[in-house]
Amino acid sequence: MNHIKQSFGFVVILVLAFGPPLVNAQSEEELVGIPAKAQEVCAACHGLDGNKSMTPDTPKIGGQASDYLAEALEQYKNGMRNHPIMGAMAAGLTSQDIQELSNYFASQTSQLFSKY
Amino acid sequence: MIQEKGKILDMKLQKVLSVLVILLLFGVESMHAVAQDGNAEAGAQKNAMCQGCHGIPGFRTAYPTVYTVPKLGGQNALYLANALRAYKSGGRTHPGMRAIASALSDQDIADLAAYYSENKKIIVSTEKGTE
Ligand code: HEC
Repeated sequence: MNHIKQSFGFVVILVLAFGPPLVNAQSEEELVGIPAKAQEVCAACHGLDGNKSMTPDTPKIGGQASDYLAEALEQYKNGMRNHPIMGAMAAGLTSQDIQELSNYFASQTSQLFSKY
Repeated sequence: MIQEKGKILDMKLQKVLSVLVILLLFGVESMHAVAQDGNAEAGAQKNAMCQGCHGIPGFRTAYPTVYTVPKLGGQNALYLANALRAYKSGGRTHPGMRAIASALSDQDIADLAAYYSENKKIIVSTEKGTE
């Protein structure tokens, strides 16, 4: 089981690194206005709209509040949240990237809701 | 010039990716610890401490900066459990969440994750844009 999961992760990374653009199912037109990094990086695990998690430990981020997403990314970057994958992802983001990506994912339809 | 910048970016990206390959092969497995079976109904009895912030649409916390608390309803259970475990162990250092999560047992965490991930809506507010 462990090595199946590991191989799966490995394949994901190979596809990320060398594969075709992840979102080639979408027409060029539909991709206009979507931040490049969202298409090229984040979509691989979170889905282009932030609602299609590739693994069960990957959270849905579509429609989550923008300021929360930005804070989470800052914390992966500065180490307040210690997570190897998202730490590596956030390390490469400028504060402008963080703003753009957070606004973009926050503007997507959400499967998330406040629950009492 | 612009092309060169692109190249440097590519190289950075490659570095990040190779680090990831290594992490995925050797490191990360321990973090996937499969979630203990949680019981949503039991979770619903244990969430008194969560409601004050996460039960209020659009609620904002003041530390470390002012930002909206996350919506938890419909979130993936394993992610929720991992996050609570990280607050408890110190992998996440948010002080408020650390204090709360450190009082939770593994079973509490599993039950709460099951409760919040469940797609049954308990509507708190029907006002548009706040949910
Ligand atoms: C290799 C897979 C992968 C990629 C690529 C990835 N993420 Fe993540 N992301 C994760 C995982 C796994 C978590 C859960 C981390 C944890 O448990 O703290 C996560 C967590 C997050 C969170 C925290 C959400 C919350 O509710 O607190 C945000 C925000 C986020 N990712 C945004 C992004 C953005 C933006 C990108 C693109 C730059 C991205 N991610 C790329 C796997 C990935």
